[in-house]
Amino acid sequence: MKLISREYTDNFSDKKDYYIIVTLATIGIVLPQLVDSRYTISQLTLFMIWATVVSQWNIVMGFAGIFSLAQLLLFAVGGYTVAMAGNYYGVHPFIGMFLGGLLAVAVGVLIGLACLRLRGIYVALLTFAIAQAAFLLVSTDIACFSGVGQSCQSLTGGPRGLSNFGDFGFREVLGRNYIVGNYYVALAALVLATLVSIVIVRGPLGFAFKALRDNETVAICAGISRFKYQLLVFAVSAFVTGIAGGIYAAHFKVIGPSVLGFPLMSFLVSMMVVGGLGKLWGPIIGAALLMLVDEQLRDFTEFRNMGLGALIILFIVVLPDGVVGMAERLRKNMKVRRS
Amino acid sequence: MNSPVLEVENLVCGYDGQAVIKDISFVLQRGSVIGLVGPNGHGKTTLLRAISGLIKISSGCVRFKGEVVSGKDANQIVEKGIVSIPQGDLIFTEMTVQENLLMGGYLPVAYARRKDRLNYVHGLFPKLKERATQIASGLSGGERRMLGVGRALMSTSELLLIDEPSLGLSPIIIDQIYDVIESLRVEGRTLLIVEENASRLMDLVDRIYVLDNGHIVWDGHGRDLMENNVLMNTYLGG
Amino acid sequence: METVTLVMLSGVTLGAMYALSAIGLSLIWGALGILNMAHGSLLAIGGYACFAIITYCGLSAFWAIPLAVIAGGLVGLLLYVVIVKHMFYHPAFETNIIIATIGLSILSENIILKIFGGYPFRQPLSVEGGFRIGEIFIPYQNVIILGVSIILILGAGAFLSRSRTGLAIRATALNQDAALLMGVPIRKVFAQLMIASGALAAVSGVMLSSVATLSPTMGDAPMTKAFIIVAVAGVRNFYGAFYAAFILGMFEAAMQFSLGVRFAFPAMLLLVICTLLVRPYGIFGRETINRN
Repeated sequence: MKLISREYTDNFSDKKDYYIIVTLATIGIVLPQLVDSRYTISQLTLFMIWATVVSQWNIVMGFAGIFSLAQLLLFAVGGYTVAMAGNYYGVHPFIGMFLGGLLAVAVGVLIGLACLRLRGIYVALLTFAIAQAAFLLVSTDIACFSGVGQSCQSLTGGPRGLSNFGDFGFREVLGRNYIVGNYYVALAALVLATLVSIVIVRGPLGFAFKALRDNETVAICAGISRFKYQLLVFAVSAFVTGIAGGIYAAHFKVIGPSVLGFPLMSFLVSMMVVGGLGKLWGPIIGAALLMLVDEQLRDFTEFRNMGLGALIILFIVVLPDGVVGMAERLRKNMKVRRS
Repeated sequence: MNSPVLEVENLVCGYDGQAVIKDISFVLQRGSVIGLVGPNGHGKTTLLRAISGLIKISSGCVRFKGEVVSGKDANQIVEKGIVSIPQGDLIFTEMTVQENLLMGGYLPVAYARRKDRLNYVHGLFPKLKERATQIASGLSGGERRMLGVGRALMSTSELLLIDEPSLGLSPIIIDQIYDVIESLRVEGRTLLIVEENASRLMDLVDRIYVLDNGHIVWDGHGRDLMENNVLMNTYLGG
Repeated sequence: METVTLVMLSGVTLGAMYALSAIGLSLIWGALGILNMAHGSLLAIGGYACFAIITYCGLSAFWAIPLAVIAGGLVGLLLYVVIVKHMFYHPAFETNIIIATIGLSILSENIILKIFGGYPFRQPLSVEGGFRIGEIFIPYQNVIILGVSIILILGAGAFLSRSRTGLAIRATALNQDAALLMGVPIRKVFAQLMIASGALAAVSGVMLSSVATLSPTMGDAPMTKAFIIVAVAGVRNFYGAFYAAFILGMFEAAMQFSLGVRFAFPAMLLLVICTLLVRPYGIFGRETINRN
């Protein structure tokens, strides 16, 4: 059995990670006071949503060694929970968001039970097929469920998606600047996601996975169950990812099956690969870089997806540890040279 | 008659920059049989893997019939005529016994004469003929070894590297395997045999080398080794 | 009775199409441990190549199909030279190659989109007409697909089990070190496999697009089905994939009639997951693949 998870090589001490997160959170809190443009705030919000998702996906894929391609399904579960609960029962997105997180955990555990006893490559294929099945189910859902005006709407909104489920309601509190409210919600989610990542990587779970990586037989004999720990990581990350999906829906006030599509999956995969799969800070840095590049390419949208594909190939072939891995290697080399 | 087939010169190799073989040289003449003995974990298998091209060598060189082969890919080295019977047999578990043998004769020269070669191997190991259509993973340990040896004998090459032919086998099977090796010697093949235990090699080999910690610490005739109590006790456990 | 016949016929057609999609995929999965997420793109490339050769070059099918096959083979070779070759000895190869082929997939889908646009074309190659068995109409095109899939499976299977190169391919898939020691140039075998996979995918793409339409994403759904067929059959099991394709095709057809088209795929997926829970290496599968 070949181990497919990667070694964590960053040689930060535990404390350094917390300093970094406090610094970044402070910057995040102050930033809206310095930035005036609504567009920029909105893009920053989107960045934080994607950074949340990829930080969790990275924990699952790069750290726990579960090659799941269904992370966006969990995201969609969160988003659709907010949308459907809001639309059909008038549930406030804040509550819907947590419901979404819990539902994502339920779905995640089910997928985990179905897949996690299989080998890496089978996990990839089954999770991909499950996500694909969900995409097909939603996008072909055209049977009337409820009437909206004169037209009819299916249960999940079908290919057009769902809207009309309200937002976080910051408009009443913050007026014109309501979008800053969304921004802070997303920031809170990203901080939560990063804390979850740090606790998983640096905490007892981290030791368990390290033991499994170093010598699986010994680890199993010591009572470490790969399946149990993988399921736990999968469930925790599902919760955070579901919440991110809820925030996405409430921020854009719409959610559609495109969140399960290939282009978005590629976008998020490229974030992880560019930043550094299996590195604690890699995906967040990758998300920032990719959002910046995407912004520059706004005038060339037809080449956007082509560029994404080329970028993924380039990085995985030439720099499989991403920019963080490269930085670590450079730092190590400099240390060697200095001493 | 006295022309070198295999020359190993100042060979250094290992894994991850850690040298396991540290400066080894020897020459194998055409039609001669050499034994290489020494305790486990002292680089015998590593040496064979380096000669056959499965691992890179750090320095030194290997020549086959005067031509440098070190640095080439393993399959090219086989093409030149250095055939291995690797440790642990490395048989193709999901293929039939017959298919395994055919793979042994993969190179065009042997493949063209595969009928003859099969008959030859079946003659040496009648068991392999009985089990021809069986999937190789179902073979017993002894049968696996026979398949490993038989597969290598499908090739037409004259030089064979044999890694621990007696490892993990019952005495009866070891006798059978060594009978075949003896017949190869009589045929005039050039052989390099690695064993942990020297006793089997004594009467078979022309020269024996004792390997310890990556160096050759002694070489000479088998009989002399047996009589050298110090050496036997230090390296070969009596 | 009528319904049963209808389900059977539709299941056989589906099975034939799935078998076609699965061949090229199964080949490189079994031998190299590559889960090729760009397999759908290879199918699409084959379909579009044939379309372009007929439409823009005005050549007949006699030329179009071989040329499409060559195009597919070239793309397979490109995949090897540009991607696989450089990653093969990375410890995380099995997962990195999934990511790389995700990249390749979105890249080539968008290149097709750029060249041909998103408009769904008809494959000019398709054969009109059909015949009747009782009340049921059977298009010739479906018969052709069934025939081609059987020929390709039998041909590829015979090649793998009887020819010298086929033996070498299977040996390489089982144990690379041992194959090297037999004199097999394994890098060349890898390249050959990728070319064969691309070429087979091109044929499948032409066939698939002749019953559906050409679109840049036409390969995605067949690819997903091919994935689960290979998984349920077990890797390195060519004929297994063939049987699994027809079993799942029948099952899907039955589900389409009983549950409706939308739920057929989820039902099939559920069946596959249950199968894999009981037999993790597939119905016909043995152990895991050994890349050492």
